[in-house]
Amino acid sequence: MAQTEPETKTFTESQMMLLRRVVDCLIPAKGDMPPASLVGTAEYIDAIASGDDLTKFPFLTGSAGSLDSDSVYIDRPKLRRLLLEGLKEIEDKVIESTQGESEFISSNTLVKILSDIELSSPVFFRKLIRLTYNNYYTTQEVLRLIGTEGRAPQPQGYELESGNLDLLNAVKERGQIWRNA
Amino acid sequence: MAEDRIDVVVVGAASGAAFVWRLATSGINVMCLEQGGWINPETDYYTSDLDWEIHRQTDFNPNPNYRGLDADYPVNGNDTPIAPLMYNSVGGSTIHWSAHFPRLKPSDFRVKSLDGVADDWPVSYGELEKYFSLNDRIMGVAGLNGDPAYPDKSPRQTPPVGLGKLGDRIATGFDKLGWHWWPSDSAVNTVAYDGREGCNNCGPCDLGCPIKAKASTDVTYWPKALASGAKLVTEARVREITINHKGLADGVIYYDSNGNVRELKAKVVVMACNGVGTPRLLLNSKSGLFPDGLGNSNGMVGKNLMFHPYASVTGQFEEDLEGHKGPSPLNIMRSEHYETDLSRGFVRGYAYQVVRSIAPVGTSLSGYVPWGKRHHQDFKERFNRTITFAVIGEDLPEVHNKVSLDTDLTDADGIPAPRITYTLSDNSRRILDHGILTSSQVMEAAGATKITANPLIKEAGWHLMGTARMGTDKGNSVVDGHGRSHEVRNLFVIDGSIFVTAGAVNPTSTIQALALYIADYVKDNARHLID
Repeated sequence: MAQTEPETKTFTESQMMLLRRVVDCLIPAKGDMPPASLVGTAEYIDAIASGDDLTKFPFLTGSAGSLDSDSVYIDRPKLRRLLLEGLKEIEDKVIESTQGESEFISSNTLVKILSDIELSSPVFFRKLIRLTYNNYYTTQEVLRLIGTEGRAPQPQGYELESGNLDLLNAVKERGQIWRNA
Repeated sequence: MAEDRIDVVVVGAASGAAFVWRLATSGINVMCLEQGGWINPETDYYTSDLDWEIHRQTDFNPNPNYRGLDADYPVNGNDTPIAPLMYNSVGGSTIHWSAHFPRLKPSDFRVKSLDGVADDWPVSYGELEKYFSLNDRIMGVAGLNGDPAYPDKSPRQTPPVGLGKLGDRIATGFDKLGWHWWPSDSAVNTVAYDGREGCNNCGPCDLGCPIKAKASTDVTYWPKALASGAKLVTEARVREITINHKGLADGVIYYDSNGNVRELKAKVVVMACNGVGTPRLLLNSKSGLFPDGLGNSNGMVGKNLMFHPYASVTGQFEEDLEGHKGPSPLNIMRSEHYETDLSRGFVRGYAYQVVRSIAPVGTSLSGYVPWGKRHHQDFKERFNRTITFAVIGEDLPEVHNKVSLDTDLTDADGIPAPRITYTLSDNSRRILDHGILTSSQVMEAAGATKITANPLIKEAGWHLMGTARMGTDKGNSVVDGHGRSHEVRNLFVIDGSIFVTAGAVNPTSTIQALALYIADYVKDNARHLID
């Protein structure tokens, strides 16, 4: 039975293959920690890029209206263009360094290319990092592996010790530190 | 245009909540208009979802410019290093807050008399004390009596928020230096109180509390106010305050939930839209009598904007501090350098609040976890192993720091957006630098192996104050000691706009105490104001 790949929306299949290689350079495997592609990071980026949300405040100028801000999800069409252009830039460098044999690019070479892109296209690169980290650290497997029980905070919450308040005795002994007025 | 009539209209359902409750319990006919809607704690918060942290970047971002919800309006923040933050809903910014609940201190009300700068408030800590206590009872405060940084207070409603491993660790640092620290008042039930559950220490208070352990006015004051007969209209965006031929406020014009323009007539108008929203609305309420905005003949509306400038210092420790457990604001408060000591090189002072470890996404995006080979190693060294101090400095009022109306930007209803113009003063900068220095000393004393600092946090404009300030001098203030407009005798302001000075602590407790104080004034003068 043929396996069907998940449907991608923004990126072609060859772009998705490259994107998986890229995110695995950003967060590689180490020990028990999986590489980013194994927790669906490329698919997540594709889904985010494919969203239709438009900015609510189209007349904003300054930092909040800029893509180079913490806001990832405002103006998806603009974000989509940024990611496509950025990935194309990576793809072009990969083709150049492998003389067309892009599927054989080594991880070390790809890391070198990404280091160059980080400097030449900082807005794109920061956005790529943010999306990669956003996905990676919200997957159940990774959350479990970093020691947080692999779940959301609610509804269970956590047990918390009240702590040692005996150290406050020294604070009390110093007496009043507020000014009468 | 449909028209309704009411005795008292309150614009804004956050700080408005305490005021509305107090009036409603006296039988006064009061209605509140709120441009946002109700939040359903059981369904509208994301802390049960694995991607909860990402909502801090999107629909639960504290910055309305990034959030862009229907109830939001844009804010032109191009001319400020601190971005103003707010939330429009029933509950307002108390939906988003981390429930720090310290009071301003007695000296904060007498800055001119004690330190020779700024102005004195026309009301004192002593006059507000019973309102602080009343407010504490309604909101429910976790804390510990006996703090030598404050006068005696009424008993706290629930025990202090737990320190956990992280709090115990940082307390050793304070102790070694012999400096003040204390479990700060928090508006969080640590055990069940007033029909709301006790906190289960899930962590991200800023993303809302689905079990209602954290006090927000939608789950504290509003149920009581509505039960007492108050009316609340949501998704009602006020455009302007109207006046009659005598120059008295006589109501508001607003857009209802269907976008229809409606007029509400009222005998008393009360502004509770925060330190940006209130001046915005006043400035937008122009008329022949008030061509520069309502109650603004002296040009003071919008002026003297004060933030609490924040710096942060983060210490990294070797052991796992279990920093994801417990309310993320640990609410240890330190007041060692709060009161003025000119030998430090600045006037007034600062506090700092302890914050637990940053969550996984936040840790990865902190700037200290590189991509590539070192990613996992550096993440592991940092996650749940950091303690952060939020250094909160006192701003002094300066006329050039202001809220004005933007000439181009509007909200979805065409109402001019606010524009913020603000520069950090030299005094505030010196305050923060000193706070960074002493914070680092505490971190070192507690055993931190690495210490980093952010000298000024941009996304930290939670506290919006001073833009319709109280005062006895009608030339340099907007309202009197009871929040009553000098020029429009049936117009009141009850939010942080009326602050004369900012102190160096979170303002919500004081804002609500003032709202109750002013409500009693309106009640006591109802015969003149309403009848």
